[in-house]
Amino acid sequence: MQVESVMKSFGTKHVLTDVFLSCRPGEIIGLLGKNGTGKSTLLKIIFGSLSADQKFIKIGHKIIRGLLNNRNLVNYLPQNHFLPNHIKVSTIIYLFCDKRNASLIKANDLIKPMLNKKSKQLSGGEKRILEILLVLHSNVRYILIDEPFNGIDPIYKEDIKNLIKEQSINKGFIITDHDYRNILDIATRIILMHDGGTKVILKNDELKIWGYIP
Amino acid sequence: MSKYFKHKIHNSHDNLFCKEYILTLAINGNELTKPPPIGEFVYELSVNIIKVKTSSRDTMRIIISILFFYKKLVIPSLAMAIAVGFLEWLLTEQFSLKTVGYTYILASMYFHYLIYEKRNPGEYYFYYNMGLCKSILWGTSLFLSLIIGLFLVIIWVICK
Repeated sequence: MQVESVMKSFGTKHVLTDVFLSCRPGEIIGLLGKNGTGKSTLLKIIFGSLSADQKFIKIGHKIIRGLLNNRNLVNYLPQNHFLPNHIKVSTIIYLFCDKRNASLIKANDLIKPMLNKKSKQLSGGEKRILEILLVLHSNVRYILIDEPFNGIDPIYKEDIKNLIKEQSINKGFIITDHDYRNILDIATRIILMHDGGTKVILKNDELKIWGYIP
Repeated sequence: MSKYFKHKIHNSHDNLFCKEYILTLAINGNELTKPPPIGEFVYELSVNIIKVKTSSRDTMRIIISILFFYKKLVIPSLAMAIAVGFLEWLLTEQFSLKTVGYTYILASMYFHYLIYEKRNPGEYYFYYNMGLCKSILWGTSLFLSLIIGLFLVIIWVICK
């Protein structure tokens, strides 16, 4: 996946001015940056749910112009809950995943007790775990994840990190989270968003230099 | 090489459902745009399979998703349409399915806006991840509402 020349402004505020990013299956790109630097905006633009002033996104030889081009290629886990609250969990799993992945998720000990509940009956943490499992097991080439560890109990964070590593064998990941340590643990490459652009971080000390960590 | 590809696809679980694939060949992680050079080299070969055509199961999943998306609009729209019908009956002493039908079409568009655009905009991402965009969802809502609304109008015309 190649992401080039992404520009996005909200009114007079230029959020993204000079974004270049690439990701290959097998890679986990950790996207870091202070609040308001445009991490979520960038993920939404790559996914196609938000239009950009200018962008060039290519997957393989296919140029991605919007959501319709992304079908079966890119999935996105947004920051906020996205499951329809009127559908039963088992039906959501059936709709979201192929047969094999649906069976894997249904067999998960955390998910089993939820299967007959509707999504609105789940707690925030339960919903988040289900959403993460659905997106991670989806049959696509690239997965964009926005704050996956938000609202997740510490005990499950390691499981999720392991699952992301496991799934990254065949898929490319771009992950952003405010807890940078989780990202540093799993990322194969770190990219810092700064002043509307992207900086490749080779050593963790560079995060201090760019003023991201104290 | 083609035999190798064929073998891989036949071992893929998804082949049971999907009709067509685009293959990309990569050497040492770099995607190839032309055939690899001939010679005795040590390569790490990998084949990426991009699914391009949806299977019948995928199509069914999308249709069911759209119906679930629309299901949320039916009860409030119908309730509003019937309420308007009764209001008309109170005022004119005539209950008209024609009014109910037309009101249903307008009410469903209003509830689509209220429920999905205002109250639960996050739910759109569920459908986006299934390859449905906002215009498709709005279009399908309008289409299904027209079918239901006009069906009520036609019944009224026939019964009259």
